[in-house]
Amino acid sequence: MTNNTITQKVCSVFAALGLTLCLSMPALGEDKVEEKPAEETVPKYEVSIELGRVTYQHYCTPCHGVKGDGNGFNAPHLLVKPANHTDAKFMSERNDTKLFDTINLGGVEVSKSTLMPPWGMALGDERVKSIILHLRELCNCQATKNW
Amino acid sequence: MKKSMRLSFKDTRLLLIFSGVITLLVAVMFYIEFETDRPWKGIQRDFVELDETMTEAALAKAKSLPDGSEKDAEIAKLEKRAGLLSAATPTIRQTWLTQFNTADRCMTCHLGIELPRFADSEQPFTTHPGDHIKPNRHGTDAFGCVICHEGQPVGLTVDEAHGHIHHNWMTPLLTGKQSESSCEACHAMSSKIAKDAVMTDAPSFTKGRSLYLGTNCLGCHVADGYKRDAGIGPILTAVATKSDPSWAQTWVKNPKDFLANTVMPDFELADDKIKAITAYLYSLSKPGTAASKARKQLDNNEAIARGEKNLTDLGCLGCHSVDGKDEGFGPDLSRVAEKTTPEWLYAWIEDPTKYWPETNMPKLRVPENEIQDLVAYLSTLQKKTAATEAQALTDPELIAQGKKLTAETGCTGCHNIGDFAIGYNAPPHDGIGQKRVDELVFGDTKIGHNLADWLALKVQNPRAFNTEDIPTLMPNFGLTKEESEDVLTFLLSIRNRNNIPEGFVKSLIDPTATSTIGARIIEESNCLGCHKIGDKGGTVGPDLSFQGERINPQWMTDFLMNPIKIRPEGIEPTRMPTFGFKTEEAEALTAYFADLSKVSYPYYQAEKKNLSAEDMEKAWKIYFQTFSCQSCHAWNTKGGIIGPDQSDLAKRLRAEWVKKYLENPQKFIADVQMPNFEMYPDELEVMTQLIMSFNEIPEAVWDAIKKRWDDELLAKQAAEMGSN
Repeated sequence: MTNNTITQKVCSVFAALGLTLCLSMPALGEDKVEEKPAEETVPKYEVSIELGRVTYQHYCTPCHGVKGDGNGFNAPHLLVKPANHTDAKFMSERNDTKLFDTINLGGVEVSKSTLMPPWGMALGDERVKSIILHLRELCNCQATKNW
Repeated sequence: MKKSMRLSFKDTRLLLIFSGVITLLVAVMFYIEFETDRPWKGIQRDFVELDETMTEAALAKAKSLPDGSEKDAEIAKLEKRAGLLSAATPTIRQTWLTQFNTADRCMTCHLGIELPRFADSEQPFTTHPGDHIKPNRHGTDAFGCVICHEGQPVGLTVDEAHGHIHHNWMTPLLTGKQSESSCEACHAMSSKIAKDAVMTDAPSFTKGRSLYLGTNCLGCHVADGYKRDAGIGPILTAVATKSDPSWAQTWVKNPKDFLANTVMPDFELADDKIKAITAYLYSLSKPGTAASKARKQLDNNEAIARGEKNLTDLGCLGCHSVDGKDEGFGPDLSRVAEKTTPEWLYAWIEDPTKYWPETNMPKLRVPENEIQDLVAYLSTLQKKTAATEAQALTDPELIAQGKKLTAETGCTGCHNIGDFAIGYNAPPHDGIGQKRVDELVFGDTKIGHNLADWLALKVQNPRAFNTEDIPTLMPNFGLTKEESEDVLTFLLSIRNRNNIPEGFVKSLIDPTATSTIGARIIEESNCLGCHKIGDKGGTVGPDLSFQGERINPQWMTDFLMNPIKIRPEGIEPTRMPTFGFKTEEAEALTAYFADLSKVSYPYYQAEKKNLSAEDMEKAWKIYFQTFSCQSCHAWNTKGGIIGPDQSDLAKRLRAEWVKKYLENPQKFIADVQMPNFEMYPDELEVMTQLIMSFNEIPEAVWDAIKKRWDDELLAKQAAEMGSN
């Protein structure tokens, strides 16, 4: 009787120990991606032309092209040709607010081609503003009109 | 008077009796004195003295505490202890370990082993480190000390109890790292479990086990419960097509000189023996002829630059390095051109399993021009030009001698060679953790005559015990002192522990569990070279932590066996290589990913809802107009090529995941080129249903719908142009 209770005790101790060890095993670690709050996945950035270049290369060049001339590898598959960011005349007609809205909210919100998606949520204000700095570098121009 | 001075016979007898009694009394007194002053009694007196001093100090400290119930309780506790100590009498403290049928008297001297206040005291009174002997783990009432530390538990002197009294004592005391060798008896870690699987509280054992399996000790030795690998070294039957014989000889001479972390050990062979072995190996195959396909881009600087870039983009650097450090999963490539020919490199990249069926190197499935670029770059990687002096290696006598040497040396433990079977008959490791000292040869060494010291030296310097009469053949694996000690811990665990009662055997890692099998395949294929799981791994491929909830299990299994490129060719070079997983391996991995995501496996059925005409219209508007999904995604190759084609997305993704992902793509893949559209819940619902029905839409229907929205867009565009 006493022996049995001891065995049971020892067994349960072992089971608990085994379970704890198994759970703490890093090789079989659990996925922690989901535990992060959503806002943490968009890290904080500081506005800079360098950040603009990098962000533009990653997110914009598939359509607007590595050189910014609207000839990205995806451009032939689009119904409307993407904007040519090296076109000084075209770009100088758009002020920074307009560019910000276009990138942030997408073409549909500024009565332009709906093929341009809204990037604001994915990129955050800082990266959008950085892209604008790079756009001004690409067209080598400033806005002439204020609309 | 005179008479009375003389001793009579009677008196002599009296004297004899008297002196006899005196002697006996003295002997009894000595005996009593000896009995009452056994060494353990002295130790116990020392302990009481030490504890009395400590209690006094603690009492003084307690008295300086601010008044209150806490102070009173503390003082009462200490005074009670002081009382007990003053009344203490020496006693043998014996625990009868009912389950193991063993007596354990170790705590007769190790009195402070369970008392935290002796943590800073010296042996034998110090506290046991860690929380191993807490009652809910390995409590001393059930385990005593002997179950983990061995020794002779009924002994009452240091020598007897620790089992060092005679060098033949079968189970000498295990201390420090070596005591980890006892864990395995109850918590089995067979070779079915991944090499790097961690037994958290046995770091030395874990490391030793990983080294033992990783250096393929089982290639030559056998051990109960451990499975011999199919051969961890490259196949050597076609070596003439790969390397130059002069390179092969410098390699065998000192493998670590060429690849710092190679598993290939140093056999300390004389040059003429190496030459003979090389002659034999090269007699098995013929060198290949120069092939234009492999050499097309050699010395073309543009191709070399493309090849260098592709080495990163294709994920080669997930396993290989080119910095000469050789710390990766695969060999370092900084001197690969010294070792191999362009023809061999081309054939190897094209399909590694053709040369070596058991290799871990996957098939990259890259087109001919990309292989040529890679070969062009790899052919520039050398530190010195190999001397290719012609050597007469065709002498049949030399070849025959080489064949004999190949078998003797133990090359066959790791390599498949000619018609030799994998393996070598080195002494078996069964029961090596309790090998008798008189079975060991110590040669001219001056180390302690015990198993642990012998094994540690044998592992680190295998030929240390060689004498002229007794040469040994074990090669040198170049292990550091610390590594040898860890291997020693592992070797000591291979001992017969048949006294473990049933209820005590508890595997910490279940070898049949999905997670164990999955973890082993992930280790063997080095998935973490390119992919992340949790916060470990590379970033070349997608994070595997959430693939269980993302991917349809059937698609995942098919993909693992026959990977395809999801995005169109030419957009990005990265692609999942073909590892040639068998069905059961692919299924185990799929189950493992499902486990990671805590989703059900193997049964998955997407929940299907039919959208009303109104909802359908709403969904199409979102798809083609509001968010213009077609600008990045194609349907049946019609549309953008940035994202994956969506026509059979329903087969690939789980519906619940599509919805979650659409809501916030960056939550799962931080730098994904998919915007966050901030969709409303109703939009997410209809979009998910629409996308998941894409594989059922007839082409004509799709085309008609697309045309309608395209026309609308063009008309709007024209109006815009007009107004401008």
